[in-house]
Amino acid sequence: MKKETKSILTVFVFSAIIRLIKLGAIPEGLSIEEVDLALKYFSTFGDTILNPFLVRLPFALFGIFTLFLFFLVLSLVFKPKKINVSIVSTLLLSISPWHLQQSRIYSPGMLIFGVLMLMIYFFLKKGISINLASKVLLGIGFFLFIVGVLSPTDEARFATDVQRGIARGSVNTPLLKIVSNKFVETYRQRIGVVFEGLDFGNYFFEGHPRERWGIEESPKLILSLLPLIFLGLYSVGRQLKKFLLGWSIFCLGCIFLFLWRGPSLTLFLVFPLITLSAFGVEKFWASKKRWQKKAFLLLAVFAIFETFVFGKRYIDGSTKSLFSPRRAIFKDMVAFIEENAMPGERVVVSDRLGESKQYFKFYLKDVYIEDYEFSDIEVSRKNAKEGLFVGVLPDDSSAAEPLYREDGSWPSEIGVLNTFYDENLRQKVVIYRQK
Amino acid sequence: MKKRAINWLPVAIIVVGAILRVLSLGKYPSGFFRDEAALGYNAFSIFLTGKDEYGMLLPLVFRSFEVFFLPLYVYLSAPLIGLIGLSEFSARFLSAISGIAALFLIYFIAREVWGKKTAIFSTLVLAISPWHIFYSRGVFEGNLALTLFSVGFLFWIKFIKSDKTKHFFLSTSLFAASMYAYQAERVVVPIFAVLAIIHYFPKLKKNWTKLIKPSLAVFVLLVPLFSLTFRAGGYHRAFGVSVFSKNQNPPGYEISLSKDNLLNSKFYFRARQVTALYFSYFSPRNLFFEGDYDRQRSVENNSVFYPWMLPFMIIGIAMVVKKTSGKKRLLLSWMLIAPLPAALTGDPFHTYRSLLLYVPITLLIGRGLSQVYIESRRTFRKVFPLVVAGLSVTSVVFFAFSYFVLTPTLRAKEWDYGYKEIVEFVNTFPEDKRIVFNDPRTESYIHILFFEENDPSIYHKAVEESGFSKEFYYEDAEENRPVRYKNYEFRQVDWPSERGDEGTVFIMSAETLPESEFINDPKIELLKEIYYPNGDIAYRIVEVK
Repeated sequence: MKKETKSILTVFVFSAIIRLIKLGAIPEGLSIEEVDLALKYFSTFGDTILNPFLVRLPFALFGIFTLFLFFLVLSLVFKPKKINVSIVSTLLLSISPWHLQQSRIYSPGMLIFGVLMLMIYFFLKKGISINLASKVLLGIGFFLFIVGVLSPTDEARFATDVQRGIARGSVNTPLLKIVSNKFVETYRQRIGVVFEGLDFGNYFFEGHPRERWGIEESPKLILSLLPLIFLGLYSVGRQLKKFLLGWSIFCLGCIFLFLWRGPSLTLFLVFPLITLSAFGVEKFWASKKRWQKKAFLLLAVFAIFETFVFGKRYIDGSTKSLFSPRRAIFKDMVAFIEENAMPGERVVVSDRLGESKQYFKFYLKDVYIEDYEFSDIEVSRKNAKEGLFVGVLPDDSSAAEPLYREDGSWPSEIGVLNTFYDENLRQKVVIYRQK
Repeated sequence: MKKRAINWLPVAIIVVGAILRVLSLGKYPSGFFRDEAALGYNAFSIFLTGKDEYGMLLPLVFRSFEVFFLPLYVYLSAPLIGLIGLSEFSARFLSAISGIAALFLIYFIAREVWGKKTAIFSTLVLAISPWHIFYSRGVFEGNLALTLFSVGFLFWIKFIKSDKTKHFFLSTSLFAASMYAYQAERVVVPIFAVLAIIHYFPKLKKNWTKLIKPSLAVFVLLVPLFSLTFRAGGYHRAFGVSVFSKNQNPPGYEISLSKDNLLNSKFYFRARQVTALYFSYFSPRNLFFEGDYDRQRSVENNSVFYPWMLPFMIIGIAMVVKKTSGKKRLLLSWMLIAPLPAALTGDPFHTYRSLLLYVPITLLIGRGLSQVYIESRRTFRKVFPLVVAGLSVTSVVFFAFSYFVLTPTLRAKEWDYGYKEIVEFVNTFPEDKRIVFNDPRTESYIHILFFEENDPSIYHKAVEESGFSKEFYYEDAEENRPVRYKNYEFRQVDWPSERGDEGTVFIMSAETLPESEFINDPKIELLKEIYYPNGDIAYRIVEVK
């Protein structure tokens, strides 16, 4: 077997392992999208599908498939002697926090990325030149941009009304119609989303510094890639530069028109970044200057360190943001309720838990859950005496809450079975029966 | 004909830029920020008495709010304010002049580094850029510092070309002067000096005998500033805002994990935090769309530069990297060290603290524009200037709408709008009327001093009576200002207990004195409500009968 084939196979096997291992448990907790997806296919697959590992498996497999597509596309784009760049690019993509995290959760962006890779692969395989592909992507990107400007949003209309209200009387009407109109505001709103994708913090740090640590699935890329990307930009050939530019403009055009945000829907931007960093690696590797080799070694050590830091934090769950859509509370809480509810006993659940019905269906593996009642009124306000209650007390609750006690204890009228803390919504959950 | 047109073009651009910086200067921005009042009033006090608001004779720094403003803006403004009187216009005028001077400077700098075409484009970019118009229209000592630094840079590149000692002296003394104008320059100038020395060491070594005297002269100029470095007046501000002084763990650091855990290194996460802050100053999102996070330091719907300038900045950087030279390397050095002071503070993307950054970026945008012009095919080359002109005019029209119409309405609160109107009203009261401002931070006094234009010696007396000792002027950074001045008091009002103080007038914000607190009380009379331009109530003035 050729050395290159062995290398790429090793990369794929390694990528598969890090995407499949403990897939159901890391990251902790399922999102409502994952739960809904499983429940949607319940009728086809039965309660087997109500399993975190199996829910995420399609995305993990598709993620591995996109790596394969990525490698194929690069092999067609580069000259055959650049096969090492393709292999290194694929490795960098496979270990990038961005692609790794998106492979392990419900990610529509992964599907979009895969479909785009597939389209590009077929175009190039059909013999369409990279030059033409670049021009087509660029053209589509600009077309999307124009369509976006000409498609006013409701927010833009509202913003225009506010501005015209302020300016009425001080700016003459024809001029006001020029400087404040729905097209201008639409452009402003849409370009703002594009510029979110043009921020260092978004890719290499934990989001924009203004947003600090509140961004889910961050960081996207390790900081060590940044100098490699700049080096790659300097050393990459003109033709490929055009292709990457075309790809980027196309992606930004999609973002502009469809207002795609977040790490999932902008995943396709990873392609140029990883490709350039691979060229940066190649430049360093090919260098004969001793100081450059030492610098590269230092960078490699730092990259490994960063990868380990990310890996540890990801496994520990520390990369989880304050606004995480993944609700870890339900797994253990529902298991406890199932264990402790008496046969036929009514379980009344406060819907302050947020979309709790779906989670209960999932973890109980029962889409009917007839003995469960989900109440939008805090259950402790209900007069019912019989049953198992799942009450909620927010952290910032007032004395008006029936479950609230100044000393932090629970009311003496209730027999507490267990308590849980809902980190996402910052509230305490108490499971109890009335005494 | 074409050559004459090109010669007049920079002049025309500068005239337009000057108009944008001076038009209705006293009225816009709407409101008058407390720092503006502090610098303006202290200049007034210096002109009349030679002393600052605390009665300190010719201080090295101005203590106001324990910010310890560097002195140059105040001292240079003093004769201007003495000449035309104390007003928002006169206080802001020096910054406007600095801004207009910068338009000339950028032309000359770009012409020295690249040539006439880049110079014209760079001047155009600076003339219309939101950041520079904004900071030229307020009392911003950083803008003065930026202009001085730019002149220093210009004379430095002239010195490199000419070897003339006078250029060296002018350059170094102007760099030194910039350090007396704003805090950021105290960090940037020494680093820049070291880089410039390293870069031009052979040349400096060759001329060292000629350079001793001017170097010593500049050193002597800096001695007062050095003397402050280890006193609270010299370091309090820097330490107060530094990311290292805040008692917070850096993002990502897990308190629950062991300190010895290599993967939980506080040093690594802190370095990462500072790196993130540093890179945020080069983020296209911040430079070309989002802008400053603080509503007082930005214009509605505008950022530092206009979005269409981004590709030209990229082209400009590519040109400099591709074909570098000594002057260009020095310019790049300027750009790379400029955000350091800001990156070391915890605030994300603070445009004022990173003001030095935007001149090199302006030059790079200008370079990008000229490169596109040069590389264009003949047909497009005729059209390109028109395209740029069209983009510029459109941008300025939109900017003017945001700056003169939207921002005064939407951001008046952030500019401390309302005090002028308050002073006009309270001046109708007899002099012995007790007037209490609800002001826990004791900052509103400066607006009263400014708008009343009282004899500074009256406030000096109040300072003395409060027990403040000039001995601790530079040493003690604790808040220490009078809470009483004439018939005014500036403090936290305890409304439930003080609402019975007969004969007292209270001035409180609408949030702290809602209507429900007095509407049904016959003893409390609403004398006046001060409104923001958007119609919201800013302040209420009530009297206890």
